[in-house]
Amino acid sequence: MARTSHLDLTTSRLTEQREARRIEREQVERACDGDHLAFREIVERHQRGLYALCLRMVGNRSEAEDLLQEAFTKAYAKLDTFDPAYRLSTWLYRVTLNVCRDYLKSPRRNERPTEDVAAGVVRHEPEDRADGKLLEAERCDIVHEAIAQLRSSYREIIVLKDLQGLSYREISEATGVPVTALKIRAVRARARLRELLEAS
Amino acid sequence: MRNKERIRRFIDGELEPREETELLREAADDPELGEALQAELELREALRDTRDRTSEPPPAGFADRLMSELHRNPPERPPLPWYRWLMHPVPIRARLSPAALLLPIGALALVALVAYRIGQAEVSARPPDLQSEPIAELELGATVELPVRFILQAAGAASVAVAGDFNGWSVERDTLLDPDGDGVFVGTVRIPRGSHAYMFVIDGKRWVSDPNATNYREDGFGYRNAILRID
Repeated sequence: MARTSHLDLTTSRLTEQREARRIEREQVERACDGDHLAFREIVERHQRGLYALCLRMVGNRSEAEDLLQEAFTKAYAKLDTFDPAYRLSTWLYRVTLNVCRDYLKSPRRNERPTEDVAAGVVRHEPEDRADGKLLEAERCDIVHEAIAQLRSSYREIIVLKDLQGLSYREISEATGVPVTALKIRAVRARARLRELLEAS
Repeated sequence: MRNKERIRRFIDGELEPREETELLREAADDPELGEALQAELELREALRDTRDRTSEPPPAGFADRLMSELHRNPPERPPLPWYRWLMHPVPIRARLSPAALLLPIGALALVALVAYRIGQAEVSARPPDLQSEPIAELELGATVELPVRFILQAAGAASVAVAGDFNGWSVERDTLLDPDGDGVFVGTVRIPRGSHAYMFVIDGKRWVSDPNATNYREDGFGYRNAILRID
């Protein structure tokens, strides 16, 4: 049975984390002072996770890239407001999530359809495996379409918890929603997603 | 409602092993519970596949385009609220001669020396039984470690190491070997009981997830740690 339980961290891992946080604070300070290289380091470190978030929220690659650019631009403008007591990744998640929410509420959303996101990664395989991969890609597209039909709060918890793999505490810091409420929401969101998948 | 919460905790990996076993035992005897659990497991599997297929980096050159755009059209930074402005550090530039620097440094060194001497005098004035004595170190029970075999196919790699929380994420400590040069790297590491996160490191710098692991956890930076559980 799969398990992602809480890990006991070794002292060296904790030291490594503290060091990483210190480097992160320094990068933010340098970026706030106008050091573009420092901001670029921040972008390169976080772009992958945040692009995946945008792609999973909106289901369209070019729109995801635009939203990611918008998120980083806002982050650059508001970097002074970042509180180093929190992780930078959590703060960036919050900025990106707000950008995605604004997009999903706007008329702009209807101008671009969602793509077959999963189909884009189907690779050419020997003939005896091609059908299996295609079926898998189609199944993933069905899941993706079902997620797109969820109300925004349910979609967010599915994307953040089940696709991005964040902990409830991290999601709470990024969204401002208490952990207990998030857990209840996860139960309801998954139930609703199952209904949509059964119906499709 | 209780069962729904238990199933959620099971799916989210929050149950202790004893609680998991209890839930699975009950699910085996209770068709309704069993069905609900099975449905959640199938959904989790489907979401895992979706996650794997949408885990891709942004298009090449994204950072370059973004930085060019920021350089061409720098966004306006809103003024800080007064309470943040008060706490915001400001860079200070000063021009001082070497003599002006040496004077305060010398004064500080003198104060530190005097304080040290006073401290030493206090320690030696204390009765011997109040001075610090070495405390005999208690020997704790040794942690049980079990050998775990790691395998990675990495044709063309010069070196492969396994890095995880069990070795402080060192990229050098636990290396795998390819004795027959067929690109299959193998090694055994002794690891204590419990759950552990790890990744492989190819040529000292390329981090890859273990493709043969059954459990993963995103680390929040776009990488997936494999999760190993040793009971």
